[in-house]
Order: sequence, then C-alpha cells, then structure tokens
Amino acid sequence: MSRDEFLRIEDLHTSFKTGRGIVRAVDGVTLSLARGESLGIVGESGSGKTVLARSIMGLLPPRATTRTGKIFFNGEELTAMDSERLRDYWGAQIAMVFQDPMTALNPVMKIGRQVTEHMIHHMNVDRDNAKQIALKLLTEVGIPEPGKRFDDYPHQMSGGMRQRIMIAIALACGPSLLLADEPTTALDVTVQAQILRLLAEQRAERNMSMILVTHDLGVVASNTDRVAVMYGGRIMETAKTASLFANMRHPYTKALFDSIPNLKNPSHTELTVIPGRPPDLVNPPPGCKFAARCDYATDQCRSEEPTLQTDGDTEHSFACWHPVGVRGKAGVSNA
Amino acid sequence: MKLRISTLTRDLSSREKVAFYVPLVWLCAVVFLSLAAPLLTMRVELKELPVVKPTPVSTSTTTPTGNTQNPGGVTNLGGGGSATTTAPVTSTTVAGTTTTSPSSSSTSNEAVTEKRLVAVDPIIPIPGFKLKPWDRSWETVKEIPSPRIPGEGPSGDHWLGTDELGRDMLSRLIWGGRVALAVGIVSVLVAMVIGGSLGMLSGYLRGRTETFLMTIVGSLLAFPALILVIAIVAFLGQDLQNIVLAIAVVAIPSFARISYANTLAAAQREYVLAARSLGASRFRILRREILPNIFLPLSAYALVVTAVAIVAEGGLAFLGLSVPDPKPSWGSMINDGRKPLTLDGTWHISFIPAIVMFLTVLSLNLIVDRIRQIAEGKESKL
Ligand SMILES: Nc1ncnc2c1ncn2[C@@H]1O[C@H](COP(=O)(O)OP(=O)(O)OP(=O)(O)O)[C@@H](O)[C@H]1O
Ligand SMILES: [Mg+2]
Repeated sequence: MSRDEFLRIEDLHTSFKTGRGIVRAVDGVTLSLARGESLGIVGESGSGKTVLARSIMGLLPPRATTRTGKIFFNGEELTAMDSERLRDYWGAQIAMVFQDPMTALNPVMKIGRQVTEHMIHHMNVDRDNAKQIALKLLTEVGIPEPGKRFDDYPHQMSGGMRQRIMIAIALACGPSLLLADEPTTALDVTVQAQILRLLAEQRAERNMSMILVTHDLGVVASNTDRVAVMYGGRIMETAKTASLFANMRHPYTKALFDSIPNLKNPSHTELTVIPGRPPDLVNPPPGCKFAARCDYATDQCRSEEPTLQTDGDTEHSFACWHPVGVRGKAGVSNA
Repeated sequence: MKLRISTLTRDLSSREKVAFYVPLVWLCAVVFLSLAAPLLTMRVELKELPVVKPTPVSTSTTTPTGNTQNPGGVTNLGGGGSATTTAPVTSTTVAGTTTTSPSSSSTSNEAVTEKRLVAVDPIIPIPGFKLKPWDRSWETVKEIPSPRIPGEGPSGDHWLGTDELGRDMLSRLIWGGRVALAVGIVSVLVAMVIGGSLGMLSGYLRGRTETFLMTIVGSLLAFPALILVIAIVAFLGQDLQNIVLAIAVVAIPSFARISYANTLAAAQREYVLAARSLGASRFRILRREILPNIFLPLSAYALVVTAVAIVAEGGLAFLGLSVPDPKPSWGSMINDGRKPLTLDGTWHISFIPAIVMFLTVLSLNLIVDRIRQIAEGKESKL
C-alpha cells in the first residue's frame, strides 16, 4: 500500500494460555491506518476486538500472554520497546477510551485530579497550569461549569458525563492515535450520538487517528473512513466504509448487517440471526472460521483457510472462497 | 476520599446514631485522658518532713495532718491526699510512718521527721477544684505509707478508690490508658503500614515477589501468636516498646493477607488498566489507584485489630509479661485485683479496669460495624 502509514500492524497474533488450552484471541491481523483516519473494527462479542486494541497498545496481562507480529507507530516499532519506553507513548501519543465509564474512573479520586494527573506527568506542567488546561478541555468535551465539577467524584456524575470525562482524560496530552473500545455501548442512544459527535469533532480538530471498536454497524457507518470486520480473531473483510456498505462481499459481514433492525422493513419483521455460536478459539477448526455458520460453506471452506484478497477495488479485501455480492466474475488476485 | 463523620451517620436512625456517637465519645475520652495524663495527675515523692510535736508525751496519739509544716507550699498527701484536713485523724503515727529521732536527746521540742508523700509538681490552684487530684506515687515510691487505706472503695479523694497498695485507681487507669493506646494505635499502625505494603506489593506485582512475600507471611501466620509474643518479649526484654513491637509483629501477617486480597481485586478493576494506558508507573498505580481503594477495608480491619491488641495486652499482663510492675496497664490492674479478690469490698480493683477495657473494645467494635456497612454500601455502588 502506498498511503502514508501512520500505524502499521503486521501479522499480529495474540494468545493466552489458559486451563483449557491456548486461546488465539487475535490470529494474524494485518492492518494500516493513515494520519487522521478513522478505522472501525466491528464483530460480534468474543471476536477479539478488545484484545486487538489492547495488543496494539501493548496493554495485555503480562502473564500467560504471547504477542507476535510487528506494530509500527509513526515509523517506530512499538513491539520492540520495553515497558519503560512504552510508557512515554501511552497517554501521550496513544490513548484509550474504555467501554464502561462506570468502572474506568477511579471511584475515590476527584475527577479534576484524574484529568490533570497524567498531564503533569507527561507534559511537565505544574498543577495550576494543568488545571487551566483541564478546565478548557472539560468545556470542550461538553461538561457544563467544569470549575464546579472539578472537585466531584465520579459517582456524582451520569454515565454520559463520565464518558466525556474519560474522553477528556484520553485527549489531555494530545495523543495522535485514539483507541476507543466500544465508547458508547454502556450509554443510552441519545447520549451515544453526542459522544460520537464529540469524538468526530475532536478528531477533526486535532488531526488525530482513531480506531473505533464497536459491534454496531450503524455506529461504524457514520463515524469511520474505513472498516475492518473481525471474526474469530481474524479480519474477514476490510474496505472504505462507503464501499463496504454498498457492496458486502463476505457472508459474515452480510449476516452481521442483516441482524440489525432496519427502518425500511415493515414493523414486526423478524430479524435474521446468525445461527450457531462464535468459534472456539482454543481449538479452531481448520479452514474458514465462519464455515460452521455459513450458508455458502463448501468442503473447501472447511479445510482451507482463505486469505485476504481483492477483487477489482484494491482497497476492498475479503477472506472468502465464495464471496457474495456483484463483482464475483472479475479476476481474483491475492492482496 | 474524605471520610467525614456526617457521611458516616447520614442515613442512620436515632438509635443507631446513639450506638455510633456514644462509643465515639468514649473512645475520644480514653484517648484524651491518656494523652493528658501528665496534666491530670501529679507526681509525688516520699519525703522526710520535719514534724513539730507540741506535746512531748511519748505514748500519746498525734494528729499528723494538723501539725505538719509544709515547706514551700508542698502538699502533704500522706493522709488521704488532702493537706487541708482539719478534722482530727484517729490513726496513729506509728502505722507505716517512720518516725526517726535525729538526736538521742529527749528535749521536749525535739525535731522529728516523718516520711510523707509530697507533690513535686505544683498544683495549679483553681478554687473549688483540684486540677490534679490524682497522684502517681508508683513512679517514685515502692511502698505507700499509711494512713492510706489499701483497697478502699470510691471516695471524694479517690474517685474510683485505691488499689491493693493504696494507689489511686483513677490515675492508674488514666496512665494505663497510655499502654492501651500504644498497643492499640502504635502497634496497629506499624503492622498496618508494613503488612499493608507487603500485601499490596504481592497482590500487584505478583510473580516471584508474591511467592516470596506470601510464603513469609504464611509461615508467620502459622506460628502460634501468643508464643511468638511471649518469645519476643522474653527475648528483647519486658518494656512497653518491646510489647508494642511484639504485638505489631504478630499483627503484620493478617494485615498482609487482607491487603493482598483487596489488592488482587482492585488490580483487576478497569480504572487500573485505564491508568496504565495513560502511562502511569507501577508505583504511581499502587499509590494513587490501589491504595485509596483498599484503605477503607484495611482501616476497618485495623480497628478490629486495635480491639484485639488491647485484649492481648491484658492477656500478656495476666502472664506477668506486660509493662513491668509499678507501671500501670489495664491488664496488669485487672491482674493486681486477683490477689485481694477474696477480701471483702475489694472487687473494684479488678472490676473497674475490666469494665474500662470492655467498654473500649465494645466501642471499637460498634464503630467498625458502621464503617464496614459503609464500605459495603460503596462496593455495591461501583
Ligand atoms: N486475559 C485473557 N485470558 C484468556 N482469554 C482471554 C483473555 N482476554 C480475552 N480472552 C478471550 O479472547 C477472546 C476475545 O475477547 P475480546 O474481549 O477481544 O472480545 P470482543 O470482541 O472485545 O468482545 P466484546 O464485544 O464482548 O467486547 C474471547 O474468547 C475471550 O474469552
Ligand atoms: Mg470488547
């Protein structure tokens, strides 16, 4: 790929040693991201989205975890750094917004303190300056009267407010990459939209790249430039958001899309569900991970694992032997 | 997190409030009286005082208090702590008071000295109220001279009576409170700091640190506590410092276990991961994220241990291993009362310190219950 690569992930594998065996939570992911670009990662529960996001940062439980592959951030290889070095990136260059604002804020620390703490550490500002910056930031993320809220504890705020605080904390040191792991899943729909708009605004303003992890295709459609669909620790399909929604090639993507309610359908239309369960990541079957639940699966699907390939559109790749959609006849070439 | 008393009692019924404030007041009183002990009690010494005998009749009875000359405003405490008694006391000078004749001459107005308890730090005179009514004669005097009455019940001079040697019970209780305070606060704080940090380190760093530290803690926990205390006190010597140290050593492992368990739970919380994702160092995470979150359960446990430590001191005293003899502690006072317990009317010698110890331990437990209730409420809010 010839685009300028701000973040490049090459053949990333992350596995956990557990009592049942080795869980391959991320199983060979290759991705890249341009500066200022927004990438959505979608997939159902257990598909490895969170593990992927944490692997990118290097924030994995230290014991019984193996991570292989290479990650380049801004030309530097993150996977070669020790934790001391990484700590200078964490928070300052790469920041994370967590799924549940109820548990990701320290319940016994004032929110002002939580916002300024890492600023003082990363940016060498004193407490008063940090407070000034933090107040401005809290206004930006939409906290009314931040001066009054500065000394509140998290439990005194609503979920939406707490997520705004989390975002303020993540943005405090001006990171160039934001990893948002389901930042709106724990919030109600109206607040979701506000938070997503806030993220989009901030991203544009700061020319920040973002990886938005979600299981909601609707969120992806309106908030990302590109999408990667994940299943069983692998990327099944990736494309520009618009082209993916216009032309889904992987049966899994299609099934995922069919399982969300559509207003165009008459009411009481039954939602399509994907039959079966997510694959066992300990002893994955050979072949395509989705084969067991796929309507189009053949013997080839069950024995040989497909790799990402393109079909006409070079930015649209999918891992499937029998892609659905229109451009089936064009010459298939490996990406 | 600020722990205001008002937050502790916010949603309590009035009866529960009583069950919280009364113990709190009692504990504050114990702490205050113990700390103020030197101000509340006076130091006394046994001094030879000249006694002028107006009538040189050798076999007559005398009224010692009325005739004593007090040099330099020193208070005479021999006759029940009051120098101003004017009523004739019927006791004879012979009993317990050494009367010596410096010269062998038998002139009528001969100078005779008499050993008496004399206050050495002056009483601050407040009319109608003796600021320091209670003496601590045990500090300087081996035997209390008569006419002090051993095992006397409560009276105006000795509000809680005297013990089996005639020493003022109230002042001994106040001074004994300092021992309770030392084992209950100093030991527990030392154990909490050391045990708490050991547990936090094992629970957060895991791996080899965890194995190493928890093995030590486990083996210390397996050792019989009382034997360990006795061994330490016997080896290092029997004084307050060593008793405090011994009780602290015994309390360390349980603190380590509590803090270890709580750290394990807290370290799994997402806010710890969030702090890590922001580049916080291990030390900063321990100090800023984990410590504040395990502090409440740890301090509730500390109050329980405080109660246990106070009782443990009593146990040591019963074995004769508490602070050495003339110095009072609640435990040794209870023990002292054992000897004359068969005598009539001396039940108070054991009973009063026992009641004081009981009330203190009860108060601690009542307050712990309340704090635990709050800690649990907060857990469920997370
Ligand atoms: N520390 C760990 N030890 C063992 N297995 C793990 C660990 N963390 C994650 N896994 C496993 O990795 C797989 C992927 O989990 P992950 O949390 O990434 O899913 P997800 O796509 O984020 O799902 P969700 O939408 O529910 O958040 C799951 O099967 C999970 O059980
Ligand atoms: Mg997840």
